[in-house]
Amino acid sequence: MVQTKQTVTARVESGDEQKIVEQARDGDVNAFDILIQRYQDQVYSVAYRLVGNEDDAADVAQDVFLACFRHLKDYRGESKLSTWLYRITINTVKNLWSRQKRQGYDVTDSLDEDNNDPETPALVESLADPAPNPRSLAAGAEMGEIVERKLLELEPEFREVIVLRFIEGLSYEEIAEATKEPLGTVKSRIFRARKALKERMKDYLQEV
Amino acid sequence: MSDERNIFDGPNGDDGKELTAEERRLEALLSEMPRRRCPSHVRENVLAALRRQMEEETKPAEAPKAKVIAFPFRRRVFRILEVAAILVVAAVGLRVYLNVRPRAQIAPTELASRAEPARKAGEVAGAGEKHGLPSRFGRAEEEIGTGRRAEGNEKRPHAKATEDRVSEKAADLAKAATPVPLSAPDATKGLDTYVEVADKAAKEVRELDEKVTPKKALEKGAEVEADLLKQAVADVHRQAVTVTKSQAAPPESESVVASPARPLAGPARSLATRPVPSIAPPVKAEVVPAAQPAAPVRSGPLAASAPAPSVAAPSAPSISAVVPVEAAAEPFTPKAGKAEAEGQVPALVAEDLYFLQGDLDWIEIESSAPVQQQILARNKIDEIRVPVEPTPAQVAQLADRETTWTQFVQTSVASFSELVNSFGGAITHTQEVVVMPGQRRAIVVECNFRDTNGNALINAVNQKRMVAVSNIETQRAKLLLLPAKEAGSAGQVTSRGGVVFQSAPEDARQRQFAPGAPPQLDNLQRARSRGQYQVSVQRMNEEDLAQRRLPAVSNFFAQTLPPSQTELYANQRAAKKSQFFVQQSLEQRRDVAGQRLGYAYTTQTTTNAPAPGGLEVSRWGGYAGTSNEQRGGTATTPGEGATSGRAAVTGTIAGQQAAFPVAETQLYFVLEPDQLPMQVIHSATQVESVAR
Repeated sequence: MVQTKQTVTARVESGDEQKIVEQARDGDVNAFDILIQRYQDQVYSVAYRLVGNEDDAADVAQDVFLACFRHLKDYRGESKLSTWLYRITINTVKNLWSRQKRQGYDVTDSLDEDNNDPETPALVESLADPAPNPRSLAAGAEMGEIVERKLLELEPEFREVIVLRFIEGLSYEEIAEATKEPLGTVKSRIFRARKALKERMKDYLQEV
Repeated sequence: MSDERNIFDGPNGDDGKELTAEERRLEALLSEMPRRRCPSHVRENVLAALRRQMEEETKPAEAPKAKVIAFPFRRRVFRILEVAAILVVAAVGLRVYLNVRPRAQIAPTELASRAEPARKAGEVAGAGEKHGLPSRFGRAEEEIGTGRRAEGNEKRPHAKATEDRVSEKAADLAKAATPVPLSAPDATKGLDTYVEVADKAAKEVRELDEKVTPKKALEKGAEVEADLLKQAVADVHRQAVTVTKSQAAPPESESVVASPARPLAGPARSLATRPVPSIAPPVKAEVVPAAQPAAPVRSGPLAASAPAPSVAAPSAPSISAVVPVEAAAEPFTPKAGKAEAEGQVPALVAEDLYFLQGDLDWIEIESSAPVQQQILARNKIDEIRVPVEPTPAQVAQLADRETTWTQFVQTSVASFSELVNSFGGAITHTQEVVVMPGQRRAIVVECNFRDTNGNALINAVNQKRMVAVSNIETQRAKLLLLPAKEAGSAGQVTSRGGVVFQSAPEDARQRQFAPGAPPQLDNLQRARSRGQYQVSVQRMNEEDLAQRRLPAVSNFFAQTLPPSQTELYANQRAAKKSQFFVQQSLEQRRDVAGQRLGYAYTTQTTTNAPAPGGLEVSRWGGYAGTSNEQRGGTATTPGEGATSGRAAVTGTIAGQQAAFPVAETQLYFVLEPDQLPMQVIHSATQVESVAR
């Protein structure tokens, strides 16, 4: 019974969203504002998990919504709007990465690089977990930061699928649609990504 | 592999087997991660950008206040435009057709009427030629009779009548020209008499025309015909002057002469300043026999002696005629010009004299007072001056030009010889020619090559249009090969670039191709690849070239002869070698890379003279200015002289030449002075740059 109610609510929201999309497609900025409010956290969150800092995530989110408004006429409604937004977000993040790569902005820092500044600790020291007791950390909010940090150490394509699958809770099909990858590729990539993340989180997970 | 199987065998793909406790904890940690809150400025920025964008899009849309057209009309608007365009084209075409049809459809009666003036014109021309008049007299008459009738004369009977009257009157004028006394003492008198007759006749025709048709009713075509009449009268006048001059041979003081040249005032000034185009026009060389002196380029004492057609510039003032006469009797002909150009014009018009209708301030001429009055009346000239003798400086300048030309010949041939040598060839013959149009003096150079090296030189000269600038001051010759501007080509050269070819030592470039065979020069590419050539590239512009201390008149173009001229020239050369032709064919020539150079005209000949290399001489001439002599092989039709050649082959060379036949190619190039400033040396200390 509860399940039926949820389905009806989802349908009503879907129908409502369709109207809003049509209004926004006709150039109604106010209608598009409703869509922004509805999806901004989702888009920003995915962008933040992928790029790893708030400024870039904000820029990506802005670009995503502007691109969404510009290409809304191409949205045929065959997939959910959220999936479509995920796709735009991933493409925008990839563009950002390639742009940073062209401009020589290397996001990868060398762990072995010697730091001459005595006040600033070396990168390897800052990455080393200062709290040796994982039990207490896992119990607290800092565990989330550790996961985020370890997530950023993954390969970009592993990071994408981990974020979409386990944080955003998308299905395999939705991930395949958002990343434009075959379903089998998505499944194997999720498996490898989980394995890689588990390897990096091994110490903490055992203690937990 | 087992992991992969686990992924795809399970109901959920990657959860084929039970998740471990660590994995479950990890997934739980990930799913519990809070969603990040999007900063508010993101939404604000996006909305502001969108609103700004919408405003920008709506503003220009409102400005034109576009009217919405009904959709069916919009669909048909292109069709309507198409139909309108077709109608316009049809209307224009119909109008053109209606204008042209009267010319195409000539009635039989009209044909007869046209034949009559033509017959008259023939008679007049015959009469004129009898007394030394050129055929142009008849041509002018014919033009009046037929050429202008196509202006829709059926609609204008008075114009047709005027036309006939013009024909008759011109014929009368020609008749009137014949009885002019031609003896020497009466030459001037006859001329004046004739001028009066011509004026009288023209006046009669004009009065007659005004009686037939009022002035206001004259159409534009009639005005044109009136102009034609005036022109015809002037032509007759000038022809009569020529008759008087050439047949009566009056004393020099009574002569009125003109030489073939360009128009006077305007073109004269333009001649002094106009730049010569960077790409020379297609070469049409007229081979001048060796015994005949070559015609000069533009000025100088030889210029007046060349019988040349007149060249009228479009921008010239209205100069009515240019009549060639022997200028030998007039070593320094009259001058004319405008006052402000007095210092410039006389030197350039020293060889020219016209009956002028241009707007000139003065003219220098020796003639009787009545003739001078007529000249003043017919030309807008304020003053007639008595010509002065050429100053020693002018004479020296003309002499210097000849010296300059001689130096150019020597230097350009020497430097081009260096270029030919660098490609493994040698210059075997040079000859001065006159290149049309413009009667430019040039030099034809015959070069002897091995076949492939000749093609390489053709490539270098033909495709890149090299301008060779020689610098043979040093012992090791350096040649600057400068590609000129070539519009439309893919590798268009915007500024002059120079390629310096430094000659390699002679022995380094020689190679023995077969045992016992004489050493041959290797081709350019092979020598360059072996490091035997030093090639460097440098860029320079014309100013740099002008500032370089080059030897005088060392800048020249090198171009190949066109096929017809190559054939002509090769045949002339062959005739001098006492050869006669046996077989002719057309073959395709390709260069080393397989690129087609063109079609070669091949003529197999049998030589009368004993050939050292064999019996047959096949001659190549054609597209690329190539002439090829192949020696070796067997004769198909041996002549008398060939018998000795065969004996030479069988007796002495005995197979070596047959095994390694050496093909020799003759290339013909035309060397012309470049458009870069030529240096005219007046003395050892004074150097002046003038245009070519």
